Amino acid sequence: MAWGSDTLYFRTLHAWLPEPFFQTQGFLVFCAFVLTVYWTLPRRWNNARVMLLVVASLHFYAAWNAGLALLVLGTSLADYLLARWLEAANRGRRLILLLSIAMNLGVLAYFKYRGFFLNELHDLTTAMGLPASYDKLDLAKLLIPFGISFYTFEAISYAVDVYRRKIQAERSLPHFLLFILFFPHLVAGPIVRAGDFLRQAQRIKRWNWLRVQVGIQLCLIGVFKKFVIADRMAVFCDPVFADPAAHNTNTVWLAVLAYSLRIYADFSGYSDMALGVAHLFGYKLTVNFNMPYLASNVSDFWRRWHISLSTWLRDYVFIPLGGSRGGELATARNLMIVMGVGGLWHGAQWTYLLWGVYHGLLLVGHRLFARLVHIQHPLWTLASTAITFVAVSLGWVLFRPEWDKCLAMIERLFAIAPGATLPLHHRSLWWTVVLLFTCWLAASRWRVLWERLPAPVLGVLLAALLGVAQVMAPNADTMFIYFTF
Amino acid sequence: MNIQTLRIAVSQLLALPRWLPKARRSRTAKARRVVLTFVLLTLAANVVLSIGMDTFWASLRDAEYGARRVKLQARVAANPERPLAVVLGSSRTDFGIRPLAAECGPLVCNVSEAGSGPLLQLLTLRRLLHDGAKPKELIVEYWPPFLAAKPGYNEECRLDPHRYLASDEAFIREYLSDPDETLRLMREVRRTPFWNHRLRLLSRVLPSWLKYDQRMDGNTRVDAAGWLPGPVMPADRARSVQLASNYYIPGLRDYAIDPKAERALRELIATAQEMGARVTLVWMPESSEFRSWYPAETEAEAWRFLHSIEQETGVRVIIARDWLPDTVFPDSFHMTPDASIGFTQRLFSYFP
Repeated sequence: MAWGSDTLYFRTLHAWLPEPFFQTQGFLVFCAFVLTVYWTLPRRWNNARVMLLVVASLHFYAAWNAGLALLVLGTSLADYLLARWLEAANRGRRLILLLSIAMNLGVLAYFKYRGFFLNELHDLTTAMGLPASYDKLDLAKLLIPFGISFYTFEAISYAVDVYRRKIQAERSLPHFLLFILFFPHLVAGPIVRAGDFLRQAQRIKRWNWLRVQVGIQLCLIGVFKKFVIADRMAVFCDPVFADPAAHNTNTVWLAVLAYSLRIYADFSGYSDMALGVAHLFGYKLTVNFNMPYLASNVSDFWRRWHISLSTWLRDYVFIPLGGSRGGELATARNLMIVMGVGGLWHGAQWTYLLWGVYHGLLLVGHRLFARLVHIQHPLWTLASTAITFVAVSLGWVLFRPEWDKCLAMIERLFAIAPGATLPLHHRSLWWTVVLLFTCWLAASRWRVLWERLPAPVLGVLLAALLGVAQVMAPNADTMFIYFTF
Repeated sequence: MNIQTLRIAVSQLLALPRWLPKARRSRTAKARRVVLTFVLLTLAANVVLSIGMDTFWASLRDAEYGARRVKLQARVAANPERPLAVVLGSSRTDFGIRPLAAECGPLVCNVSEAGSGPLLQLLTLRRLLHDGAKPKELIVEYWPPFLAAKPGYNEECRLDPHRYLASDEAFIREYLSDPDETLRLMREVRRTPFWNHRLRLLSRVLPSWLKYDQRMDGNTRVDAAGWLPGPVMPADRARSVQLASNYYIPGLRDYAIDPKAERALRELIATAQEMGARVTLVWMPESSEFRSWYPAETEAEAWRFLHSIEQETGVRVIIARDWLPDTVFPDSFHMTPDASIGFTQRLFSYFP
């Protein structure tokens, strides 16, 4: 354990909140306590409320690892000072920006990518017949700070926006720290923009029952997605992804379908919870998903999937590279670079890079196809939605760190092979798909239902949602997939 | 029905909520009522379920005991004139003693539970007495592996804190090595009953949604007298026997009787005798393979302990270890449903 964890205070804290996750009883108690204190403070004490959230967020992270909480705090302080300097400087602004980006990427590279690069270097030197002066690192044992990819991107976008004079450097240190550390988005996003968030931090907040209702609803929808859909799908996909060579072709296809639903329900469920918790404190975070599997092409998919990351990549990588202004070839190159960066952002493995390249190729292919074919027909929309879903689902096969298992999956998918079946009858998988469709219907087409139902009925429905989510959870210890990024 | 009609039907279905009247209250007032209803209902549901599972829905918290208690009460109510005999034991008696397959003097009810040794037998007896049962005869399984003191094999490590009822607190304080921790776990389980009992609840409503090792609906197959059909003969019996040997052979080495198991067994006998019930200890059938796994000193210790209990308390002992051939044991120590008929008939001849 890192610095500070051995003190009685942090040991007690760690016992309560061993990991910075939302779906635990410890978090419920933590959140209820912080909410109570937060709304008890008079509203004219906005700075006190902000400071309370900063302290709470630090505790939320430090309960897991006090040393790494200090690291996040340290880099955030450095980002704050560098941005102030950047704003005040008349000369050398680009150098200060590069310094800020280098610091953030350096910390990210040290924790997240050093194992990968050192191991690849080790393999390369050994393959060339040169003696390697160090042993290979065990990647599973390397400690990666939770949320490092998320808050690094937030810090970089802040520095770039200050450099571009899109926003002013934040004067208030607590406000800036809250922008980076605010616990609802600290661990797995959404990636917030300083321009959006800091305005909200300055605004005096009043208790608002509507906002509380929305917050609770979002939290419950997130819990439902995680426990009822994602964790159920994990029952079907995890054993197959862990040992694809042992399973037959039908089973592998079902597992791919299950994984597609799982990763969506898991990540969008987490994002809903993050948005919901933030709402309870009077903050509105970026919406991260918009029915991505209803996208009719891969470009549309990236406008609906992990929106905070895709817009970040668009604004801070794609457009600075030239965007789509330099002709088809340059656009294709830019798309490939952006998606490669996006792939590597998820993890330091060749498989993630390949996943990014795969999506880059899909995007380039779609651009070419869209120039040649112009069909406007409902059946075509339906078919293209199905094709996009299958293409994206096949991409998820690469979205795992183990290369040999990815290959085994691909082999099993496209060659009729015998083997084991799913660990549980797939009836519940299909019922969950029906449930997902009903949820979509309820959320999108029946929005008016929520507005017109009597309050007690709505209250009962929300309580039932929580009860059903708890009872239907097949496992107690399935982690959110995106916490590993 | 043509496409046009179908489209109209679907669009009307999607527009269904629009038929609802518009809300008359302000949105803020409505939101407040929604939030308060949700919070109060969630708290109430948790409190009701938590208290209910200790009182009127006790079979939800401990389905194994609950299912058998219900059967016992129904059987006693249907035969109020016959003296009650209760079978206390593990899955071996659960699968082996089939009261409806044989006639005997008393009204026999099987209240066996998987993994049960003297501790769970005593707890079950206490619960039965608490629930108003008045047995005149106790048929208690005696099985040395479940009296072992060895860490990892003693009975305490098999007891599930989720199953304890509020009325079990005295037992927990008297028999468990860390009662405070168990009571803390019980409190934790009661704070969030939906979450902590989700597998039990889901086993009731959608058992096929759970993996085999998560399902807790085995008790739905219990017959009217508490007998549970045992395993059928597998295609690969040798593998099942091998798995059993992997677990039991190390457990039977360096054998010693657990003092807590001895204390529980003595208390069980004393309690029964105080209320005028006769106690019979039955060493249930084992295959020759299983019998060969007992080291000589373990066998000697098991016999010594049984004889001392027999002499000191005056209980009756029935040794049925070799009553059945190896071919009726799918895994060397559980008998098949067919074998349970003959075995029960022979056993019940001791209870005219």
